[in-house]
Amino acid sequence: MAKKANPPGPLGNAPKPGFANPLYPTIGKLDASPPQGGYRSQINTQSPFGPALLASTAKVANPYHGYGTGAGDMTRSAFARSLTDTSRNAMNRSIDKFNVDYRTQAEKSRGEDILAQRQNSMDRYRMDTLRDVYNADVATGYDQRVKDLTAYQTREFKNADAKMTASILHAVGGLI
Amino acid sequence: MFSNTASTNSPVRYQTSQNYAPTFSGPITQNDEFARQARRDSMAQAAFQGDQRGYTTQAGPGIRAGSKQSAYRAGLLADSNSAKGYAQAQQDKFNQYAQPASAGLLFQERQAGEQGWLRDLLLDRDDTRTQERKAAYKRRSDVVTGDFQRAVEDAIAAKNREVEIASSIL
Repeated sequence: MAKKANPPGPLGNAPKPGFANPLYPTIGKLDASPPQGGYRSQINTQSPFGPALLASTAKVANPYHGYGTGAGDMTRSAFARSLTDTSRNAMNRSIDKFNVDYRTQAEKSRGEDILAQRQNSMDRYRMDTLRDVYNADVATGYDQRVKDLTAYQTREFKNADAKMTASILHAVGGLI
Repeated sequence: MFSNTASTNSPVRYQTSQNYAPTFSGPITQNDEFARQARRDSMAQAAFQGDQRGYTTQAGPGIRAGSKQSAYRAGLLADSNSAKGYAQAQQDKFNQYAQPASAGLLFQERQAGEQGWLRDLLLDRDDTRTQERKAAYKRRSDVVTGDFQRAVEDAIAAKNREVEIASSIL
């Protein structure tokens, strides 16, 4: 007697993203991969000025020397020194501020550059993974379709053979 | 030894042989940057030394013209005004270095942005090519399975016809 096919069991839980599961082989890679050589940016975050250049820029020579020993000469020399000191301090402050602003902007731009590269790698990873998934789906559908048609053909041939056998038996029975 | 001041057109002379010899880099000549720096420094220095005369007052006749106090005041005023010019010269000098540095950073940023656009363009191209290949793969699958289905239908129909004919004979 022919037996009815048993239905399969429940499908169970879906596989967890990011983890390997032998029941559901992972298609493609698990994560985006950096480009060859890693993420690199051409934006330089170092200070554009060396210490020698900064020193020469901030260097302020004392232009007045009073060689007399009177109060007027000494106080005028002190006044001139105060002017040069103030000027040197202002230059140092200005250079420091420029350096800080420059490096802040450079770090920000470098971070944005690296982020853009990571975004690009992620987009490429998505494209590759979805392509692999699609191709696997097409191949699986193809295999299942071929199996369906093969089984259908076998089943119909068996039916035809059975019908033929029945006809022969019917004819033999009539002769008897 | 070589001179530290690069402000001469004279060829470099070796100390040991006292002979003139060519240099690998050629003679160091005055250029715009050196000229600007020398002019700026000398003007600032001269201002400190000379501006005092402009502020010296003439009080009293003959040998009593001027006084130590007036000279002192004139000196302070001259130093103060000259210092402003000196500070401005320093600021200009720094700006000459800072502006190319800022422009260089801007250039790096724009070049990095341009490379980002190129990466996106390449990704767009690859994505389009991927879509086209995916469609071709699916299309071939459809064609092959379609051909196979028609062949199966034909084979089954032929088998049924054979059975029908044989049954009729029996």
